[in-house]
Amino acid sequence: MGFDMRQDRVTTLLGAATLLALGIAAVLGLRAPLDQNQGSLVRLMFVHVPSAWLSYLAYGGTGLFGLLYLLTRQRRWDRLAMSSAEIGVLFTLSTIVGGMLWAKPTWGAYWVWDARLTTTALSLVVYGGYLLIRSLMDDPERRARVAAVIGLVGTLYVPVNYMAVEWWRGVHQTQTLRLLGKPSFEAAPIYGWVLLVGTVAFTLLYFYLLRVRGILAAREDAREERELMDELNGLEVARG
Amino acid sequence: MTPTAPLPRARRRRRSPLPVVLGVVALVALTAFIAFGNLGKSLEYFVTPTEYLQQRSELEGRPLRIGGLVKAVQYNPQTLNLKFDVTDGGATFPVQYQGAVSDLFKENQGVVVRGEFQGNTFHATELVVKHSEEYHVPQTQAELKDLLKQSE
Repeated sequence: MGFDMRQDRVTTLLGAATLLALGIAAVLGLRAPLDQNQGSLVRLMFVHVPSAWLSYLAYGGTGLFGLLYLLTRQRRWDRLAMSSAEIGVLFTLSTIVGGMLWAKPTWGAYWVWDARLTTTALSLVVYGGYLLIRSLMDDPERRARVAAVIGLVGTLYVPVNYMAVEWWRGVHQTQTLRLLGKPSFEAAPIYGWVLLVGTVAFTLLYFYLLRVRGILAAREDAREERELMDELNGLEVARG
Repeated sequence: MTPTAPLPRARRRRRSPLPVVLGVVALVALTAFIAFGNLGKSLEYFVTPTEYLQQRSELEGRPLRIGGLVKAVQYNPQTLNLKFDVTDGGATFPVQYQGAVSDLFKENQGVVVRGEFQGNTFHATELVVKHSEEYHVPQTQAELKDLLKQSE
């Protein structure tokens, strides 16, 4: 052990790249011309959409790492799955908060219970439950196994949430970037570039946070193990 | 305590994966049922004016949401009294609403209103404006001036 995050090249470089990309996205976003109908409110989209993308990525990661754990039974996959779920919940919250701030001046309400918003709120229940169940289980192997299954099933959330605006009538607008059927982008090209840079920046942010949280989780695991060993040794000594 | 022979090694229980597989299949099936089955209808946030016309006998007198495009707006900024027509092309109903509305509310804008029909007029208690998924930069000088005037 004795792994120092400040001396870890990859973490530092990833952090620097994330910071740079976020900076470029912020400058581009603030310099982008105003929208015809919404004025400067359109800028909330530059945070809202990459945030939602990051949460999808993170929940997808929880499913993928869970699957890798089930296949290889290596604890590090379980740690990454847990880290990814935490990041997912965090950025779902940021998507919701940004969305609410955008919804009030445009729709006229902070929240409506349409399909897109309701399924988004449900993801907090699913992944909040995932983290809660983890905290209730002491046996690491069992915890990892149960969590992997929940994480895998939970991944269903991503396509359901993405398609909610197509499948059910709601208030939330449909996709601006249409990927299904004939691909198209229904916005000014400059917004497309800002969104692209923002999405790249948030993707880097995901990998950076995942790495930092993964290293922390590895240390927590090591400490847990050490304490367990100390306790066992103590018992041996007491027995003589 | 008398010394006893060491216990035989516990047999490793080999649990059948069948219940887990069945559980996962059931969850997937349930999700698909909710998504594509009849339950999906209750996830629809609003009915269109045409649907209301067709299902009038069921829906009349019940609180509901109607969604459509805004036409013939009459708004009194002093009394906040708002009257407009909501339409989907097939059917049109007059709507009454009391209160401030979002800046995006205008002719031909998508809107979802919640309330009750009293006769042929819809009395709305809640009004949410839908905006399109399209975002455009003003192309002409005149549009730009409009925008600047609005944001002041």
